[in-house]
Amino acid sequence: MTTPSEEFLIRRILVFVSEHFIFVCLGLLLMPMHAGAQAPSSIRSAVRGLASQEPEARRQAFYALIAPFKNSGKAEIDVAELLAAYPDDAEQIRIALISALETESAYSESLERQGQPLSEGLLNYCEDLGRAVGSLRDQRALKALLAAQGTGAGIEPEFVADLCPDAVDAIIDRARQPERFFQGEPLHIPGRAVVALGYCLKEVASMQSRPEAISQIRSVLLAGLDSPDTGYRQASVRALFPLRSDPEVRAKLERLAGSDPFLGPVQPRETQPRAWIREDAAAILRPPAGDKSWYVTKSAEAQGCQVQEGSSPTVGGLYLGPFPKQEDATRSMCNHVDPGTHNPALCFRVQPTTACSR
Amino acid sequence: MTSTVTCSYTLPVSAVSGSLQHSGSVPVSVQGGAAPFATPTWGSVGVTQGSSSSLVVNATASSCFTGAASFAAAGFPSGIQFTYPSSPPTITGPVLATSPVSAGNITVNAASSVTPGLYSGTLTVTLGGVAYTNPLVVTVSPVATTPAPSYTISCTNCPTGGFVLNPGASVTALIAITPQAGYTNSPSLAPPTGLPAGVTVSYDNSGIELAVTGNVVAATISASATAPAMAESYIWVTSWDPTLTAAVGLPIYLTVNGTATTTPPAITPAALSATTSVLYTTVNPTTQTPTVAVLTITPSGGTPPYSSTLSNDISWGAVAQVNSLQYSISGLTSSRHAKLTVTDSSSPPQTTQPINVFVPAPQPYPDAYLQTAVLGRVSAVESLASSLCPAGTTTCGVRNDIQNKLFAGMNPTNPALNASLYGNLVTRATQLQADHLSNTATARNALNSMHGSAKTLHNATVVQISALQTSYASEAALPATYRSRVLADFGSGFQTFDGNAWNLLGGDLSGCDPYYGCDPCDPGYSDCAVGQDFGNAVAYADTQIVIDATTGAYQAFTEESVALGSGALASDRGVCVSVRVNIGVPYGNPTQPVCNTFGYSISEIYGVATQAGTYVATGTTLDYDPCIGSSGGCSAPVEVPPLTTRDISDFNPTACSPPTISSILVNGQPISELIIPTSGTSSGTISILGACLDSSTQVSISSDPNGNSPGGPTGVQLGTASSPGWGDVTSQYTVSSNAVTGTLAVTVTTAGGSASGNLDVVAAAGPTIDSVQPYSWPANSQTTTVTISGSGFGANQGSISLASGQGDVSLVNTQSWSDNMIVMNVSTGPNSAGESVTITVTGGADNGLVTGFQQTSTNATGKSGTGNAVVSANSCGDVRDNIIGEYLVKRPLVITQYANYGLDYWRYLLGGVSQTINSAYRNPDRNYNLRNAQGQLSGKHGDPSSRHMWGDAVDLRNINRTRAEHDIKACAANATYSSNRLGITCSSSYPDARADWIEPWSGPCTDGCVHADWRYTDINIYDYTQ
Repeated sequence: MTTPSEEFLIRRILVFVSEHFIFVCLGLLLMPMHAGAQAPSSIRSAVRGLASQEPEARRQAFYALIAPFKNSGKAEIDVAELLAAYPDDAEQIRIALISALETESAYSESLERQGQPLSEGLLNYCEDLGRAVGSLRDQRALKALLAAQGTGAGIEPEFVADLCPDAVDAIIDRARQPERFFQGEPLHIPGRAVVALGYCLKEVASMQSRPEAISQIRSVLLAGLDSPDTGYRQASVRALFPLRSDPEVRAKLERLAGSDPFLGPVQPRETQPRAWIREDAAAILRPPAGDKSWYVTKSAEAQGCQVQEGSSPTVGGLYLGPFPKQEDATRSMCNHVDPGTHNPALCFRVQPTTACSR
Repeated sequence: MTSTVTCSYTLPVSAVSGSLQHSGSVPVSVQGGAAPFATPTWGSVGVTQGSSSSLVVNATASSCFTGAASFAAAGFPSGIQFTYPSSPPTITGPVLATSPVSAGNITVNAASSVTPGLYSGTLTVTLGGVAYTNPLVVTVSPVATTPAPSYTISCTNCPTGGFVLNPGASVTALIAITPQAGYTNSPSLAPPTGLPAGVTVSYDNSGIELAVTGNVVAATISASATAPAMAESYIWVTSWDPTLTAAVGLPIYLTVNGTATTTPPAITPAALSATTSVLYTTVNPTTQTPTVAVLTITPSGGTPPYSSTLSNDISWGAVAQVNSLQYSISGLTSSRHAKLTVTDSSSPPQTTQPINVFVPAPQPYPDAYLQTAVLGRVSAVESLASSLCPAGTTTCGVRNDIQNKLFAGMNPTNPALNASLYGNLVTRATQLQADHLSNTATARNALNSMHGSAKTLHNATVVQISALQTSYASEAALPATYRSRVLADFGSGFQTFDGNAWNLLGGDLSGCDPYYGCDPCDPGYSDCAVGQDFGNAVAYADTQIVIDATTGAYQAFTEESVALGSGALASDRGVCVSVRVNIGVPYGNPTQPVCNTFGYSISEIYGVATQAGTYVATGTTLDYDPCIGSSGGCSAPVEVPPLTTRDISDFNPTACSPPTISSILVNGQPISELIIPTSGTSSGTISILGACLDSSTQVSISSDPNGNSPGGPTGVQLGTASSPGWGDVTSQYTVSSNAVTGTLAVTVTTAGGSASGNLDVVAAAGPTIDSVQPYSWPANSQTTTVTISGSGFGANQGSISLASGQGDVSLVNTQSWSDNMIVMNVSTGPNSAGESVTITVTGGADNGLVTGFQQTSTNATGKSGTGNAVVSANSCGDVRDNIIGEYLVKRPLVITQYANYGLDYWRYLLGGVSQTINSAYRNPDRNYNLRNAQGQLSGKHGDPSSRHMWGDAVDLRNINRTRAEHDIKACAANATYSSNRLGITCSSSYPDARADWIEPWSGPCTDGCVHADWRYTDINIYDYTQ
């Protein structure tokens, strides 16, 4: 039995709790409107599906995730629009995509180790997922991207190189790992890492501030010139293009240009095999008339990119390069476009506007 | 009976009266409600390599709950360890979500060997006997070790892109030191080495950097007055600390605007060679005689730039020096043979052996074919009728009626009838054409929309399908619509109007004036308001062929032009020209006609003579758009009949020696490999390409002199060589299953000498199933006879296994077994309907007794191949596929090689020889039911998301099933992609077909084909209208 004063006190407590409970409920109801666009349940369901144990369920979840935005033909553009549409869920989506790429890469590698060919559906899915994750330019994706590069299907080397110079150590580790084989034939995994190192050197804007990273890459590539693996050696030669003024690089390339033993298969309409690696080395050494290498420049204000000849930027600052050919520079520029204008590390537009249209 | 829960609370109570205050507590018990529960929540956790972090698990709880949590994590690598709280706190409800309490802290430890990245697993937290399992993400970061004292150096005033230095000038770079982690030493800058020519560097303060004071060293970079130009060079500044024995480097980028071109590096260039071609480019339209020819010299190897000399009395004038040397030939003297030498810029320079250059004689067109074209302005009605009524169709009554009435209208006594009818017909024709264009646009838009949303007919939405069906229904209704309109215009007098409504005027043009046509708007008609009479047009066509007696190379061309009565060249909008040569081997794709829209078309063909004889070049022209005009318009219709012209040239090659071998083809493919069959023998054709290989050539094989095949040509035999003439020789080969792998030497011998090339003998792959017949097996059948066709099954019987989802399909017996065919009987149960069946064939042991007295294993032994079949069930056909199935082919698969990308260019880059396409476009039905090379159901299914359904993917067959052939074809598809993504060694100097995606070696093709597609090219451009 309670006294009147105790009863009054209990009533006050109950009223206080009730009022605050209502306040909390109202706050929960209003939260989505204040927090911005929240992904619908279908999107959230797809995000969860990316962590499924079933490969086919993961694949379907990925395409369900980008389905509302799938009109460009390129997964990276679809994902950029997805993240922009649901900023509240963007971080969760990024992590889910990165984790999914790790999962698929491990799955693909396990199939390859068992000698099972990768299905066309899996390869197409990995291509789209790899482009989506690579386009995030997220340091957390390094492990996933390196794993994807280490499967049969590979990945665009720029996606890995865009994480340089921080990623240099990890890429070098990959370049030093042993080769893997599928049905008795090499998959050239270490050589692909060397290609990525070459693209790191072309990240001129970010690499110039990290000379020690350049030195690391330089050492690996110079050692790669002596590799017995033809693909590894050729990749090292090509990757050294940005360092072609280095006296030691030149000396080693000159030796290769004169004596590399590799002969490519006889090509149609030719009568003799040609020494491809010698030709690559000679082409890098041969100084063109004038400043004939190509760069991608980017204006800081408009994030506009264009390809130019020579290293004195006519617009903005040097962004990527040098490249030996204009088409190489254009191709790389087009892999660095964020038409959604969200990632300032990328180009928001290109000049001419049709440069990336095919 | 309802269970109740009793919760006990302690309610604090205090009372105040004046200055007195007493406190106490009152126990409160509440009965009823649901069972108490608690809910855990947690986030992700980050941990550094080799260290630990704490993961906080919070909980909310309902009233009356009390208890502690237990924990279990799963799915993480062994390097990530979890330590759970030994005495988790007791949670006492109620705990609201707004202020959760800790259920315990889990310690997460990552070993130093764990690679940084995201790791996903699960965490199970049990509260009150209920387990909650949810994902847990652990982010492992790189170890942040305490750095040892160190330093970096940087340039504080280096401009982006580096310094630009003029000869004779200097710049100063300020090199600053940045101490890190307590660094206090004084390193020094080492004297730079490897500087660009003419560039020197000096430091102030002796190059000493004082870390304590943050000393800045000024590096003065000077260029001498004679410093050569050097773009994008850099100076590598190195700082050395003898205490730490560590060096740090800094590149200072530098461009020298030098006074001289930098000397090329001394490298050993490739051997210099050169090829030549001569082509007439200017033909006098009046005399029909070529006046100028161009000699193009294409050097290969050596060091550019190149120079050249020419002998004899031909007047040569340099045209350009880009990637090749070109000379125009003017004055065309009597001598048509010159000796060419090419010299490069190597040190010492290389010079080619004299190269014979043959200049074809300029000839007037002795066989010029003059054909007076039918020139007349055919009315819009006639044009439309002609286009809608294919030639050769039955004449219909209405056409005669219309013509009669139109002709009647030309009678000045009844002009009104003609004007009215003609106007009506033109209106109807315009309407029909507009409707047709509208339907085409609707269909195109619907298709593009469907593909743009990643749909094909197989999975398109109802709306998308509906748009397509609407356009096709409308198109199908057009003839009837037009018929009703014409009937309305012409009235009851046209009751004989038959269903073939479009045979309006075509065949009756002969009844019209051949020069003025049937158009009432002709010069003789008083109401003619528009148009222009160009007079008679004359079509010229000519063919020429020239053969170089020294090299056997031939060039033939056919050209066509249309001249108006005024003498001006008519802009004939559509003439296609093609040319053939009866013998010899052409380069490229001579079957592709050349079409032009500017009134002049020329088609060329290049090739090599293969035997002595008379070479006949035959050219044909086809006018596909009977209209001439300017600026894309149609000023006057003109019909140019097909023209055929010929030219001949005799070829009598002189004896040449010694013979050479340029390449060896096996079964037409540029792969010098013979495949050893698993049993019996296999045979085919070896083609040896080279020079001076005449009909007397003998071919033999022997052990490789390098010792790669010490056993000799065991099991490999060649038949008698046959030569079509003068450039290659072929021979039938036979390889038996006991052949030894290795390299053989193929030797050609002629009267002029001999030459050898290598031929590899390699082992075959295991069993391959090409087809299963029948593909569909009846359900619930005791026995069905099934034939498996393929290769590599082995001579002796191995084993067969059948796998189906329900396990209701069984092998009854094996009726027969050979290396390439198996006949078996199978049974199917009542639960098998609709089942997919996987057939696995494992090769048997071979009979060979090559060594010892035991059976010898071959490549079939123990190896397996798989095929598929289905057990029939009710099925639904997809009639929608019939609507436009044949149209879903994107441009890269149909565009010609001259576009320099796409399938045809890929074929061209592979030598211009025919390639076998294993698979290209597949509609959904075709994708599900794959067929073999004979068009039979293969029993295999394409991937449900196959790119082949998009019409931009092609599987080119890997004829010899070797990695070498795979890589050659991948490089030709896209060399950069193959190198960057797949690690394949490709040349950087060859063009490629610019494919967007190439399947890796571990893809479904493996060694059977090379899959390439153009998924990012010509997006949504389906050229079904072309």
